[in-house]
Amino acid sequence: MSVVVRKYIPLAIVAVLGFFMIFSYPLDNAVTTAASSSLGKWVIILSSFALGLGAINMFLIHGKRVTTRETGRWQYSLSLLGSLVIVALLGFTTGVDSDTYAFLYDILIGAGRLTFVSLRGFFVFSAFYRAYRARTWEGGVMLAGTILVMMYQVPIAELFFPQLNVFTKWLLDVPFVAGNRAIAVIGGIAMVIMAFRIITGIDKSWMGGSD
Amino acid sequence: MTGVQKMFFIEGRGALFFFMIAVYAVTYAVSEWAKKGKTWELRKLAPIDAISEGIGRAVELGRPVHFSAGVDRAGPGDPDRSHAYPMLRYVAMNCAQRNCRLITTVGKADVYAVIDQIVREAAIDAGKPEWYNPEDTRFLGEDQFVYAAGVMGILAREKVATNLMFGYHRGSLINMLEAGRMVGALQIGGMARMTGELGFMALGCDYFLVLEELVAAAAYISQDPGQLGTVATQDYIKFFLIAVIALGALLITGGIEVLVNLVNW
Repeated sequence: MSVVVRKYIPLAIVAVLGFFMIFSYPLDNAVTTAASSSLGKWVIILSSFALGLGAINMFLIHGKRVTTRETGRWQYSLSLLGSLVIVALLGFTTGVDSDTYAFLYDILIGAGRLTFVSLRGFFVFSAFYRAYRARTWEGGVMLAGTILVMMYQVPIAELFFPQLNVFTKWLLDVPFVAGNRAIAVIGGIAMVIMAFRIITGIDKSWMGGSD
Repeated sequence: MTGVQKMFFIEGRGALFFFMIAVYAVTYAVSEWAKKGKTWELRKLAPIDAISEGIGRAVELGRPVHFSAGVDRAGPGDPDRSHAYPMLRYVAMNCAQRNCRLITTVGKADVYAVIDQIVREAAIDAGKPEWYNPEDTRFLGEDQFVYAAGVMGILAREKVATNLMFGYHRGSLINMLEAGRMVGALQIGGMARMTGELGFMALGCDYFLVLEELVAAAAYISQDPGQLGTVATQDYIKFFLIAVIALGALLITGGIEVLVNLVNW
């Protein structure tokens, strides 16, 4: 494949569409608004095609495990591929709003989701216990701030330490918001710069190569 | 001026249009300046050095490295993905050079081809095309919990030595990080968005990069003058905005609304 097809054409597409999308945001023009809205729909359509690519990757990896009877794994791969085929077929034939499809979704995905959400509670505690230790003075400040905010959430603290809650509310309303906004502004600048780097081709890592 | 605003711009976005043009002009100029030889001192980023150490650790232990590029789409408004690409290329090249197995997981099908291509080309650029194994770039599922279950399984079964979590993650991030902790993996992460999950990243990772650090990190690992110049631009814009905010605060305290009106033009 020539370098023009491999590098310059994708770069030109990204540059034209990237700058168009950025500068159509502030413009009050029916043509640019309609075009940017259409481009947004293209993303959804292209993503749907890409989902097929993901399914092919799953079939290649798990299909190989099943055909080679990989010890201790092929059964799981078979159940995954079976579920994938059954859910896809049901979705295509009965539609995603059908009762059968909804039932399958609830027992397969819904139950799994709830398991994960409940697990998260335990994981947050174990991570919190490890991270929040007053080894340094910065760690001590963070720990003290966290205890204050936690106390602020329980009504009994309001009863016994009303003045402390006034201080905690000020902490949340003023320094916390100010810090958050500063980080958001800096993050915003970083995004603008990163977008420029990609659109102009200064950063080509998304194409796989550096040159 | 108001007539021009109404004729061409959506209300309140006119100033943004000119600000964006100014930012891009400055970024381009500084980037060109850097290409002509201007250099800036970039502070050392500990997480980037830790990535190299983590790969070395994986080689010594004979265990793989896991790279997650997050669970978000490649579309507009997804800055995390953009930061994850250069990081993945750097990790893949390092792993290929040191013959360390790299398992890359993908949570969105639309970026699978891009991720796979980055790993494949990194292997070729490292001079080890035979290192690339298509089965180690895996699409796990679009749902965040399905993806997390897949990652947790990989971390436990493969006994991953180093777990790299870049890109945007949702609430299930803490599940994956704790699974990594259970197998004793060195964990390095990064996120470019100000969300609640940033706290999980801080809790669960040994090292992590946040927001603008990710942009700087991408330039840091490439050592490309053009990219390093854009990092300097970030700082120039930051200083300019600090001055504008300070001036705005002073003016509005004095009852003068010129700057507020200009920003909202």
